[in-house]
Amino acid sequence: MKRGAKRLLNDLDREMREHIELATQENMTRGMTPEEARHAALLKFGNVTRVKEDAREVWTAVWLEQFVQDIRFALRGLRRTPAFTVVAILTLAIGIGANTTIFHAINALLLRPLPYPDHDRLVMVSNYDSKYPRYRGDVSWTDVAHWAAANQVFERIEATSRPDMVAMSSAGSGERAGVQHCSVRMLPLLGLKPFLGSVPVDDKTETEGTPGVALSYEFWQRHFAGDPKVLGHTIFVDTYSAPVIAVMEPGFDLFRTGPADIFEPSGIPNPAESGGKDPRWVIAIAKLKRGVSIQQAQAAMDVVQQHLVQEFPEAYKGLGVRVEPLQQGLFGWSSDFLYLLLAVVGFVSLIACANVANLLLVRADSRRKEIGVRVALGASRIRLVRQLLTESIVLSFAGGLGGLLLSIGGIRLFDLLSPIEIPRTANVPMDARILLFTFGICILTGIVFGLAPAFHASKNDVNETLRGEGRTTGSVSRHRTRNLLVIAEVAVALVLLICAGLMINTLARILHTNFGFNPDHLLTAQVRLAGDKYIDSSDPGNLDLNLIHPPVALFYRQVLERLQALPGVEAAAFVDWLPLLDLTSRAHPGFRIAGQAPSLPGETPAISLDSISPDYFRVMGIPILRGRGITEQDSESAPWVVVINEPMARQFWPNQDPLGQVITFDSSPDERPRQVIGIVRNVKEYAVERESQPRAFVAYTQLPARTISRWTEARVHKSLVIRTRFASKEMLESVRKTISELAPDSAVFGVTTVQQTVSDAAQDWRFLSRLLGLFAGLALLLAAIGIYGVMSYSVSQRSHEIGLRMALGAQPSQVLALVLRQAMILSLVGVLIGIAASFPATPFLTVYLYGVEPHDALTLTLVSLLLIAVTLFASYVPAHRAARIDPMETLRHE
Amino acid sequence: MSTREEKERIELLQGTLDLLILRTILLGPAHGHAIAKAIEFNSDEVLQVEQGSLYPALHRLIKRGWISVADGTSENNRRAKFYRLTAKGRKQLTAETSKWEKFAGAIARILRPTEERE
Repeated sequence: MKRGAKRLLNDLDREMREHIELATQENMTRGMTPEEARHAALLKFGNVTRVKEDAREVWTAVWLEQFVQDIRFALRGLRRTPAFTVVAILTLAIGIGANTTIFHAINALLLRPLPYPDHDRLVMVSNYDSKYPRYRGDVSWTDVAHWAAANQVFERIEATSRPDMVAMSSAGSGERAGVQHCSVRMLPLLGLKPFLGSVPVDDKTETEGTPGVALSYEFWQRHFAGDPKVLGHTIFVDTYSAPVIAVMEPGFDLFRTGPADIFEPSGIPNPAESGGKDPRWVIAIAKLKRGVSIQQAQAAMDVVQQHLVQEFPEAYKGLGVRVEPLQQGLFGWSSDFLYLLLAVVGFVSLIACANVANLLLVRADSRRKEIGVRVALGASRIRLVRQLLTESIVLSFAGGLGGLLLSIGGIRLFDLLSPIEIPRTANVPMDARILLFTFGICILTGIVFGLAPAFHASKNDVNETLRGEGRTTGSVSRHRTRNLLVIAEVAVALVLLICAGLMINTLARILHTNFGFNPDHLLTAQVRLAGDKYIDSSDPGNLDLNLIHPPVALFYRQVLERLQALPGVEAAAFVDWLPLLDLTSRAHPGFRIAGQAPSLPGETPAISLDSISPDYFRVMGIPILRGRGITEQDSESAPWVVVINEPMARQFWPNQDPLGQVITFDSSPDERPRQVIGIVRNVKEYAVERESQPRAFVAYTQLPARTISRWTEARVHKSLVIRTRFASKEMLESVRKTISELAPDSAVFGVTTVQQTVSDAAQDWRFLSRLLGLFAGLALLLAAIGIYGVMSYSVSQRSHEIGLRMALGAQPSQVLALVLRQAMILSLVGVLIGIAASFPATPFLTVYLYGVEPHDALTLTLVSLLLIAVTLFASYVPAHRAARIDPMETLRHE
Repeated sequence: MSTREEKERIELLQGTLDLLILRTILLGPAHGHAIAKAIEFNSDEVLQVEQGSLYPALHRLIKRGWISVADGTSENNRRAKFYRLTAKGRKQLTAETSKWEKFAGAIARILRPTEERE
């Protein structure tokens, strides 16, 4: 403050005195008595203190000064009531922490720009089936080639696969590794350079790919101990050998598709060469030309796609093309889910707010006198409200700080619990957006839970309070506010409980589904063979064919023998992929039925195909419905046979006996006609909630040596299944060792119980039900605390009345009932509102439910009863206290 | 204070007090009480200021540099603060006055037709 201002303010007192003096004299000249004159002058002048304060306000950033003052005052007040402060801050920290945690995921996936130059010009180009326009379909290398050839709107269009788990081996040691195929010019497009070595970019590699692979930094450290001589070293990946030409930057994770270990720079083929059907398994990423909007790009691509549909109806009929911002394309599918979670934690925060508001109301009651005095001394209502709001904002910021700390753990927990498909986000740093969000939430919650108590407190009647009448009645409206808050808490808690109940119900149904096989006492292990010894892909004339060497079959035979020799093992068998195993790639070649007219091109029926060992059905407990299963007699030289499942029989031979029919697969030029010899029961294959698909099983001994490279994976990957005599977790290690010893250079992984695999298949539901359960539990706890608080307070307020009742002959049990009845009414009203609110709310969950209606009556009833029971329990303590009130004591107190 | 009185009183619009102060001391330097009295007198007692609120307003005007303050002697022969218009304040007064006239004129134009129709 300037010196002049200080003097002005210092002189203000004298100035005002002089003013009032002059006014008094004037009034006296009008004929008033001195007292009257002075009184009138004072009245006309107004509140002296207020004037002084207003004048001060002119010279200082008073709001700031007052704010600091208010904060100091608030801190002092909060220190005086540590129990209240701790409970309030903890409650808020939980609410805010949960919000920050979920927002972090939303921020990392949907809001934070991708770390690439010109990220706002990057788009995803995807296919969609015009029957299901909502879904994004993967594209093929051929699609990308066609689009690139006709492109007018993109600077470049590139493609990458998602990391695919395969086996790699180098110098006799094998490992499971994630391989990502990405087009050669993808890295320069994103402004990325390798850490070591280089990826040659020229016209030749652009169409043919580089003859080598790049390693991720982490994989290089893990498998090669960071040896710089790795460049030029040849490793075996998936089905081929290739030299290492580069090592990527640390932390390299292309579009958060999950970190891959090995990158294979691939070429985008010349479209003239293929044109036909090519599997769609990559995602296309393009950079818009400067000044081209997404809409323009979409319009241009629509035209391109129309031409493709005309030119290649077989490959493009019914296929639309979509251009969208890259981030939306990559993670848009997760936004519904994440925003649902944000809504859920929002509800939890609301309950937390209601609770703290209640606490504040109780506290405000005990401060009525203090506030009354302040009003009497000239504190304006606004000023009081501001002061009380400052207090709640101080609280909410303390809670926010706690929430931020909690969210650090929460983010890790979220990563740990969340289903595999949701990209990990724990390594994404917190940024300004998160801090801003948390800041906003703090202010918002501070105002939400602070406003009602602040206004109530400031509505104090000065006279009443100061006269001491404000004893402990608590105004009717304050009671009503408190009750409303508790009812709201109960209602919101119930909605969350219903959601959690529905999810838990779903999970239970999924886990108790009949999988079609018996998972008890069953172990499984995945093995993936790697090395030139097993696969030969070096035939340059025939890139599309791989040669599978005899050691593959030999290994399978040996591994079964060794496993069966282990003590405690009843039987062992294998299949290409265990049902419900979370591996996406499965062989599904096309086939021809003998005696039927060849299908139209592009309409060859395709089914899932597994090769198995003879004991597979028996070990899994899959019943053979008709005919026979695969036996030892089905050797390479015997007539080739096939076993089919029910859906296949139904779909392809609806009016005929499938047994004895002959089919030929197109997975190899050397395939032989196979006779259908048996039909087996359905098994849940891909996911618990999905219907079984047509499926066929062949003997692993009856397979041609040459196979089309697309189906090579099935030949070198096996899921072993081992039935043990006893509960069998202890056997996992010996199983793993047995397999590894036989194939040290290959990848052995996923050694676990089949029960575990089945339960992993339900992980999405487990995640949702755990998360919702956690939040609903929190909500329940908070609501219980809320009821407890209100009832305790109400009992202490009514102790006089209750004492009187007891003095007049009321029994303790009647008093107990009186209090419980009050709690019951609150809780029932809350439950009714909650049930009503759940009707519009739960349909949002429908997509996540399985076998349960969104308004499942049983869930609703059970959950409501639970909530009522908990609230009654919470109010029992205060009710009991009321029943023990000594009437003499309370009456004497008067 | 009777209800009638309350009704006749017109509360000052936000910011008009500043204008009235400036206009009042255009005639010459004055102390607080004199300014308050002049405003009430010149408005035939229609405009009633809670006189105390004059002082924060004076401080505000000083801060903006529209008026200055000097020590002097009151009619009671006591030390008093006299407020005087500065050159900047004079300019401000002209600007504010024309703004106010425009405002009042506009309001009047809107209100008058209604009165005529009645």
